[in-house]
Amino acid sequence: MIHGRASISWVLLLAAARFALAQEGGLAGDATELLLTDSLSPFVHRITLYDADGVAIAPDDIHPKPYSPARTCGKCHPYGAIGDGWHFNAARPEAPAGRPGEPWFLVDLPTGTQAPLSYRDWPGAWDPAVFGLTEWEMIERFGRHQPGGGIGERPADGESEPDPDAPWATAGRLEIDCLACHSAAAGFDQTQRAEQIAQRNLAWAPTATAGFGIVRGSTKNLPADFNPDFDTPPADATQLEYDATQFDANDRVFFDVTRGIPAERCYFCHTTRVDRPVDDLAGAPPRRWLSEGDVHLAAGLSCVSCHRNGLDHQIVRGYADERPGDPFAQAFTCAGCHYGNAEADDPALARGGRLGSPRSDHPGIPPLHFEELSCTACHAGPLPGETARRVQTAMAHGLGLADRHRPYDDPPFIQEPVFLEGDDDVYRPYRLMWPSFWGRVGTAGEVTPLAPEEVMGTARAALGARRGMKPAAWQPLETGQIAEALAALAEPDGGGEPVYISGGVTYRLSDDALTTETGWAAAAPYTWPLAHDVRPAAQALGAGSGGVSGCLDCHAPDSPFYFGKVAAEGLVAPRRAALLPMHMLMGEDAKLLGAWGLSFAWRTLLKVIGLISAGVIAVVLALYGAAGGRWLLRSCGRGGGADPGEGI
Amino acid sequence: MFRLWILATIVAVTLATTLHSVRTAGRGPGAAAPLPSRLRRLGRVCYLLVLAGVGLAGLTGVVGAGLRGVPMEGYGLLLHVAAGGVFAPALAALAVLWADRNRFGSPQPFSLGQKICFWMMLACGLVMILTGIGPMFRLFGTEAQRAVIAIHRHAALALLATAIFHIYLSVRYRGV
Repeated sequence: MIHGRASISWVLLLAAARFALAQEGGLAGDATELLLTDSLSPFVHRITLYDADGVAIAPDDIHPKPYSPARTCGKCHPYGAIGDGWHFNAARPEAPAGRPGEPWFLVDLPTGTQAPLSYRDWPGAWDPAVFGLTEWEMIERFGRHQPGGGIGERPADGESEPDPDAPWATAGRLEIDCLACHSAAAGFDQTQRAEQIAQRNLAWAPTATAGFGIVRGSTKNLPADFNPDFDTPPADATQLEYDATQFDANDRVFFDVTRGIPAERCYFCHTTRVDRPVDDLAGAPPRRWLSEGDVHLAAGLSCVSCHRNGLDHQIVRGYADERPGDPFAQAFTCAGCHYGNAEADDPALARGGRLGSPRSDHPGIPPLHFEELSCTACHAGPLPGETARRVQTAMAHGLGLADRHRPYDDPPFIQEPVFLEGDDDVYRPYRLMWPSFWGRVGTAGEVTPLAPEEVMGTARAALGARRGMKPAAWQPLETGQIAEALAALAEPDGGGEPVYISGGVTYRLSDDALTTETGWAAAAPYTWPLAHDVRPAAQALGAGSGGVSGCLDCHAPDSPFYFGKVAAEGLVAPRRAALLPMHMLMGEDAKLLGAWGLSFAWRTLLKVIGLISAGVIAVVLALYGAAGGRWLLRSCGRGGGADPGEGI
Repeated sequence: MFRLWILATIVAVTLATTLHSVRTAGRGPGAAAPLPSRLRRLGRVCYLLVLAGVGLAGLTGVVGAGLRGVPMEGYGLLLHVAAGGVFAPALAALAVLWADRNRFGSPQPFSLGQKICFWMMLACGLVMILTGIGPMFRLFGTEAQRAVIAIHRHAALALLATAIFHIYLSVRYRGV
């Protein structure tokens, strides 16, 4: 009871402080209130730190509070407007979903669950609440690779459902950490964010990552009835000690910030680690030092050279129909930069060539390719091979956090490049993951997932031995376990037939026997387009190499584009996943593709025949054309008409 | 726009054949000039192959894609290219075999209309072959390729119209 009162008190305090600051102009509002230099030379951010109550911080405070980016940065920058930006607005109902991107992946190895989650309405991704995940739990799991804001501070906004079990009151809010992107300091330590979230020190995360002070302890160690207004925290609870050397004589701190965000900042959340082909997982992993990265970075650009945003932080994602009618968004697509946007009023946007981007004429490539393929289809991602490759990502696999034993064989199993046709009838490379989860079939045949905790609670006898399973010692589910768990999940009074979905296969019980089916919509893979790393032009599909025609990069009878294999990887034993050719996922006619491949074998002969034929016809035309001309002149001289006996 | 051209061509060919049949009603066929029968047979085979190539390419290109306003792809494009592979050498052979007999001012067997059609078929065919295989080489950029394809399509339409009129005249005069 006391704990509950403390929570309410804490929330009310935060809400009141926010209201008061908004009233007094403590948070910057519209653009007219901003403190601006209007110079290209950056403003030196030697500034006072403020805590969440808007009180200035000094290093010798007796009970120092963590600095609040909302109060500190929000003094001059429109924190509220920035909070509507793409990196923070996923859970806002009014925020556009946009093109499907990388979701969060719920991975629960004991129950064999790997499922895509997103607050955005992306086809194939589930709302976290469907799996029983609250916003607090989402922050606890994935806050490590979030810049804060959004659901990290929604309880104070009063927008989310109350979660009485969530320790927001003691952990504080995970505010937008502006430095997560804008820090130019080499000592900015994003791993501290994960560490502080793990310790439920949400409000302390920005201070720790910036290195302004040392944070020890955890709010987990606060007593249940702890009241922040009256109680002194125990010694092992969260303690902050500011680094006095970072404060000047006026208690100001230097923020090493930049608008030209270095790629390394983006990479913390957007790194990928490309693994082996899915049919050669026993082979040696790729040597990362051989990777050359994105050609744009090699040319001196950074991520934000193209992925730009204004004060609203609606970052340009860079696809063609991202913001229809917005010439600026269109200007920073691949085509927008390299070729311009002919429909733009601004001549600079219309001409293209931005940032010195070269303009290729793509000689020899039929124009149809530019209507049916995205630029990334030929230019982005690892060069396709006979099978797709496994890939790990920072968001899915926690790359960026130090780990001595990070396995490659670690769900979720993501593959790339997988060439598919999008809803816009354009082919592009994707990343792909086959969901695995337990669910119940509704009356309309739809599958509603079950939370892993519910599955484990009900099917403890079947799955209990798997409790506590770690990635390094992960084992697939046995079919016997699936059958036993499905039997346990069956409800005698109806409530929906339990099913388990994995690797594109739906497992269900029929007369107490385990049966498998394919083709269920819920079992379809989750896919999202990949656009990086962009390869140099010589390594584009269609460029050809070693005297082999570039056409054969895709139009050979065994080309990776159409005939490359994708593994239907699930979490079920035996782990020999079915290999599906990409044309099957595209829905393309294999016979037609085979015929096309065959036709390219005859293409050289066709060219030779064509050239010889054209030569012969040209010679005949030349020889007889002169005679024909003379006849025409003669006929005209006679007053026209055909020769006698030569009627039309 | 190309669809308009197709419709205009259909109207023009229909008008031309109708007008010609009305104006030349009652006239008899011309007499065939002497030519070794083997060559005559070979010429007829080439002529039929040319017509087959034009027909198939026209069906896939003009009807399958042009009238529908969609780009050529799939089996249609495969057939189109295959038809081109037959059409080009057949037209070259026909040019060699029939050029002399279609010389303007030469005596029978072909009428002036047939001769004009023949030379137009050769000219359009040459353009079509060059614009057909040209894009297969790394010569033309995207915009140039679009232009080349447009030329190919319009030359094809002209060839198709000429071929139809040539067939009509050949049937009318039995001069092949």
